[in-house]
Amino acid sequence: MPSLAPRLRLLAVSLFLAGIFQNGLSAQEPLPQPDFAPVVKQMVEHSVLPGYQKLITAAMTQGRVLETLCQAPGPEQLQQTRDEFRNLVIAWSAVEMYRLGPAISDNRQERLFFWPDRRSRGLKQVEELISQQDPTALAVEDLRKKSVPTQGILALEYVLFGRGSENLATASADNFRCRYGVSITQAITRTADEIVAEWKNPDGFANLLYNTGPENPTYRNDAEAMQDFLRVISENLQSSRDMKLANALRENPAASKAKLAPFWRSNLTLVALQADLTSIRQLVEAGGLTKLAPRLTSSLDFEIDQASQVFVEQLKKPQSWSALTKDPASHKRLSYSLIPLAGAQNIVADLLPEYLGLSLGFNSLDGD
Amino acid sequence: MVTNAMNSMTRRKLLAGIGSTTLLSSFLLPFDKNAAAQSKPGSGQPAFIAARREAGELFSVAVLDPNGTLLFSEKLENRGHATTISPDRKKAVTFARRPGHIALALDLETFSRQQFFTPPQGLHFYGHGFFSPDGALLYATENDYENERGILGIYDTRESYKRLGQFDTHGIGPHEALLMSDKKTIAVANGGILTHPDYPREKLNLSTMEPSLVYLDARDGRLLERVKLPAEYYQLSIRHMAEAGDGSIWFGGQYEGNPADSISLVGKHSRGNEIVFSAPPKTFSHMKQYIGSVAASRDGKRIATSAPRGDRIAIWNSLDGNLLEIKELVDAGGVAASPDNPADFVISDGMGRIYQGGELLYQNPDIAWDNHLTSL
Repeated sequence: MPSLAPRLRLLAVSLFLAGIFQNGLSAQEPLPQPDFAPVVKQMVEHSVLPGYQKLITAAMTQGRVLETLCQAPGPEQLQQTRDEFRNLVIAWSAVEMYRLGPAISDNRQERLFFWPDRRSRGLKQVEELISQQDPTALAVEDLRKKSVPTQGILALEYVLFGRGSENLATASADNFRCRYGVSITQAITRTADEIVAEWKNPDGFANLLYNTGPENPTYRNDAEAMQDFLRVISENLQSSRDMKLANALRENPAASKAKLAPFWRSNLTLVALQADLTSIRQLVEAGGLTKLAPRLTSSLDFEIDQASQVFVEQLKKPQSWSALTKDPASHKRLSYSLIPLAGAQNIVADLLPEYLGLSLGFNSLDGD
Repeated sequence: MVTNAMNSMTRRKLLAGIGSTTLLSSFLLPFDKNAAAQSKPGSGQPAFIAARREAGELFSVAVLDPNGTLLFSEKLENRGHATTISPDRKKAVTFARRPGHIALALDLETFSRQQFFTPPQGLHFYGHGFFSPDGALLYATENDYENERGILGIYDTRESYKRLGQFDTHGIGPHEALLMSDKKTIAVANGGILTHPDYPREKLNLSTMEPSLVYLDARDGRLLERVKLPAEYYQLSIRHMAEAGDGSIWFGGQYEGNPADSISLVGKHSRGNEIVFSAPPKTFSHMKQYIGSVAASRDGKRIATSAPRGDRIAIWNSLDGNLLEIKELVDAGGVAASPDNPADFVISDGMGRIYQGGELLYQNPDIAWDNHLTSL
């Protein structure tokens, strides 16, 4: 990893530019505790649920395009299918951060996105399934009983972009690999359907978030519900920055390991990261946090915009993600984006909770 | 920057709406340092050790006397976790918090740092360990992360903590381990969660977790018994434990499944038997599926479990397994046997307070006591 000290200096510069040091946050008294109930409700109804609905739609569309490829294989159909995968990745990235009850239950998050896949354990299962042409993978009910890495978006990425995927254009109609891809899109749809159902159920997770109180075993008050949303945003920023970007970029282009970031096969790594950031902006806006904490959310927007500009600029280049990490100029720009991402996380993890009166205790955060 | 004072204020505010139960005792505690206990015999001698966070995100380990007076402290590079004391009470070792690579040996006679030491390349500490009965060896729970297996590292305390060898813990993610009172059996809590420094603190195997409680022969590391939780509890990571007076192991878990699931968090195991949960899931509502520490009283008749996310301490009768009381205490993490009262406990929290016998023994709002407290 790049050394921390210069990063911290740059973070200070970044926060200065964002206006946080400039205006003196400490001079601003925390709000009397606001009413978080409408914020939480708006986040669920205007961001979480529509996000999963878009994922369902994207998976179904991907499935239909794949069906066409399966029935009439050809280079153009394969390209169309691969292009459609981009929409699925964007839709997934918009909901990736919601590691809350329904996504945690029954390993649904891992079913949708088995990452990180250290030692390629999940990938090996997908490869084996394809090489063995296991017919039980073609029925969605049976596929969902198999190990979680074989039924998610990264399994589909391997089907469409992994070794041997080019044969999808020339293989016979209804070949195994293509049918398996269709089955995965159905599994993604089912899993996302279950998540939505568990949110919406009368006794479901949204109900827990909306009806906090002493009798609620999960949320004693609205502040705890609000804290959970700030937690998932913070974790998402940390994951984007540390696990996906910094881990892949390392100290210099020679040391970089592009394949440690997700979606390198489809060359959609930066597209996914960009969609992650967009989803944070949407959630903050949808919940009305911009009204509750205008200055801090404006600073957050500034930090996200700084990182986002780097991603957009690099996405315009013709090189692949892997090539960008090896190119000195691109590596430098991408490394720069870590600074505003750290600034954004600092705002969400520390400054916003403090301002909103939501800071958690030292041991409560993660005592281990 | 979030301040401790801020934490304190907001957490108390958060607790405002919490109702009480018949077992929920109002933990009426003085908040004035002047109300702390009067000078006791043995002052000037080490009585409590714990890692802490100081103002400015600095970390250290502190040694206090029985009156709560700070005897000395030593800086840590990063956040510390648990401390173990040598049988002769002359040495202590504090381990870095997962995935740390540093352990700090303290000399409790000269009130000074003895040395830092690290595990070999490819390993990191999990934050807990214990001494052999003669104090010659130190055992530490470690992650052999490239090979994805848990181990107990063995160090020579008389040769500058030179690495001597290791035992397999027969599970992933060993967290707390202890030498049982028979001095022959090691008990290990294998949390079951796979991690790797490439993805710090990310849980890599939530869908295939296999937490276990393991007993090893202390002489050669031979596996004596391995107990797993019931299938529906496969995501309850067994982290912390203590041995009760009857030789049973009490453990506290941290649940990785849906926060809305109804789950028991504290269990008990006696060799050769199945694991028994101490109470039905309802007892653990509001504990946020997270137990932070487990300790036995000196007489072995009581067990204390902390739930820092739920702001609660539960006290259990270790003989019949019954819940005795639940105390409400914000961000309370550390529990340890009271040196004063064989049936009582000492408790530390994230607001810099230590309580003994319902009295405030120490208070400093500029610090946060970390998850574990050790009493001598």
